[in-house]
This record gives sequence, structure tokens and C-alpha cells, in this order.
Amino acid sequence: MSTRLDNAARDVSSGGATPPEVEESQGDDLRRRRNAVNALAAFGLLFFVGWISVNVTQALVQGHGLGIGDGHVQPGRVGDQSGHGWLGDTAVLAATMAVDALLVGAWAWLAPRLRIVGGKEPSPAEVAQESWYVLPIPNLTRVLVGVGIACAVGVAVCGAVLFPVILIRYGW
Amino acid sequence: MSISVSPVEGTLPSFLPNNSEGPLVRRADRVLLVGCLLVGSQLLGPIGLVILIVGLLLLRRAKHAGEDVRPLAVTVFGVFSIVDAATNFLGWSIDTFAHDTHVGQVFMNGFGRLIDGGYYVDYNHLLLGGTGVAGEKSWQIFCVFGLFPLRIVASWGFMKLKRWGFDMMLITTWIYAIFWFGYLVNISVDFENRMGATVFGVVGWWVFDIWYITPFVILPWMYAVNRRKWNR
Repeated sequence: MSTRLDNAARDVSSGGATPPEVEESQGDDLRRRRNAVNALAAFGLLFFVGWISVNVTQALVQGHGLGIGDGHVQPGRVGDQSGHGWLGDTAVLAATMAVDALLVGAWAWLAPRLRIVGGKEPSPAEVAQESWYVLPIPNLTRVLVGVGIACAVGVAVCGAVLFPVILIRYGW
Repeated sequence: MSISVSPVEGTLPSFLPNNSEGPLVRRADRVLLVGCLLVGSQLLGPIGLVILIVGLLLLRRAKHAGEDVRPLAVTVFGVFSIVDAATNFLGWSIDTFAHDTHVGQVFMNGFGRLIDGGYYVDYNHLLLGGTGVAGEKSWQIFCVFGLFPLRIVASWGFMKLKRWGFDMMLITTWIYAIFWFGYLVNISVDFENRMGATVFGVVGWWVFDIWYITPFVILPWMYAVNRRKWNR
């Protein structure tokens, strides 16, 4: 299957003639792939719409409200926040950053060494001529790129706002 | 590297082999990485966004200068994935390793009261400290040691058009998608102490967390691209 798709990619890009039976088989592969890609995209949307609906239903049925002016916290459940003093906390935070760097470093060492090798690798000269897509989906790509940009902005804004809101509301 | 022929005349500077990136692209990528890490730091998110925009402008300049620049979609999905993974990695590593510090407790308990009750109800009561929800803690350990650092690395390799980057990106994207499913089951089962015990409730949780949907955005697209392009 992947070989036929790879061939399809080569043929699309090189514009070379393809025998009819191979063309039909490639067309079938691409059609099935298009269906699967569309199904994945639709599933992603339905998954979140469905789960948000479940959570909203839970909130309403259990009487918690939606959180728009009617949210509440459980009183007396916040414990000790004293920490280890400035020096101790700084040491723990520095150690945390060091462990994080170590974890990323360990994966960065491992991942390139686990490159999957499958038969003859295409030469860069061959690949340079090929299309970026085995399945052209320009409209879906535009939508997904738009969602990706919006989400990156959302992560940045929510992340930046959170700590100041906590400090304003609950203090240091 | 044993490339000597540039097959598409006029698209690449003659001194570059056709699967190498030019100096302007390398510079733009470094700027993008700094932007991603700043956004991942949470507090410096807006500054990180500005630096990301500068990185994208540098990439455009590299393209105008005739360097071989990957499609915008590859850059956007790579950046989005690093930002997503870095933000979660930092937050959860603080809960994993620094849950006893004052700043960690203020941040986590504040987040708990605003967004997710699992971060103040019985906080620091379990064996490993941090969140008082055992299921949350198991997801956290899984992600801090495995998924998120690997995804940061994979996203970078993916952006640099490494074959291993594409493979690891696909693997971590599937893991992350399945993680989302397990995580939502976990939080929904304990709804009363999680979304149900916060100031902003269910709406707040979803408004805060919906941005982390990388796998569902990227997965369909990854099956439409030509994997052979990731050949560095």
C-alpha cells in the first residue's frame, strides 16, 4: 500500500505515463486514503463537540452550574503553601529545570538513532521533484493551519494570563 | 552528505545541496525555537508570540532569497506541537518535582481553584505529592517522562525535515490523541472534584484546555503528505 502510494507520489510529480491497471490501483488507494483522512478530521471535531456536550450535561445534571458566575470551590481544602524558603525553593526549581533539560536531552539523543529504515531510501534529487502531498487537500490544510495558529495563540494567551490572575485573586 | 546535483535549476543557490537548509532558514528556525520556548514558559507567552512572528518573517525572507523553505503548514504544525508540549511539560514537571515549593503550590492551588479542582483538593496528599488525584498523577508521570519531551524533540525533527522527526511525530501524535481520550475519561469520572469544584467550572476548563488539540489537527494532514520529503 505505501509502496503504491509512494509510486503515486513519484508519478504525480514526474508526470510520467502510468499503465492503466496501476493507475486504477493507485486511484483506489488514494480514494480510500482521502476517505480516511476526511474521517479523521470529522472524528476530531465530533470527539470534542461530543465530549464538551457530555461535560456540560454533567455540570447541569449534578447542579454545579457552567462556571459562568455560578462556580464554587470546596472550602477549607487548600493546604499548606509554605514551601522550603527562598533558598530551598530555588534549589528545587533549579533541579526541576535540570531534570527537564535532561529528559529532553535523553530523548533528543535517542530519537535520531531510531530512524526507521525501509528498503532503499530515495535520493534527495528524486525527492526534490516530488509534490509535498500524496493526497492534495488544500482546503482542509488551510482550515487545519488556521486552527493550528489559533490554538498556538490560545496557548500563549491563556498561559500568560493564568499566573497573574491567580496572584490577583489569591495573593502570594 | 553526497549530493552534488541540484535537479531544479534556479530554485536553490548553487552552493547548497538540494536537501540542505540555507543559513537564513537555520537562523529563522533558531528564532522560532526561542519563541516556542518562551510561549512554553507560560508567563512570557505574548513575547514568545512576537518572536514567533519574527521567525515566520525570517522564513519568508529566506524564501525570497531563494533558499529551500518548507511549506508553511509544516512550520505551523511543528511550532504548534512544540508550544503545546512545552507548556504542558513545564506545568506538569512543576507538579511532579516542585510541588512542595511555595511558587509551585500557589500556582497549582490557584489553577486548581480556577480551572481544575484536582490541583487543590487533597493536594500533596498522595505518595508522589502534587495533585491529589491518582489518575491525574499517572497521566502526569507518563507525559513528563515520556510523551512531552519526546514530542518536543519529534516536532523539532519534523520541522527540520528529518525522517526520524516525521516518524516520531506520527507516533507521538497517535499517543497524544489516545491520551486525550483517557484523560477526558479520567476527569469526567471524577467530575465533582475536578470541573465541578472550581470558579470557572466546565466552561473555564474547556476554554483553557481546548487549545491543546494538536493531535486532532495534525493527524489527518500527516496522512496526506508525501513522507519521502522528510529525507534529511
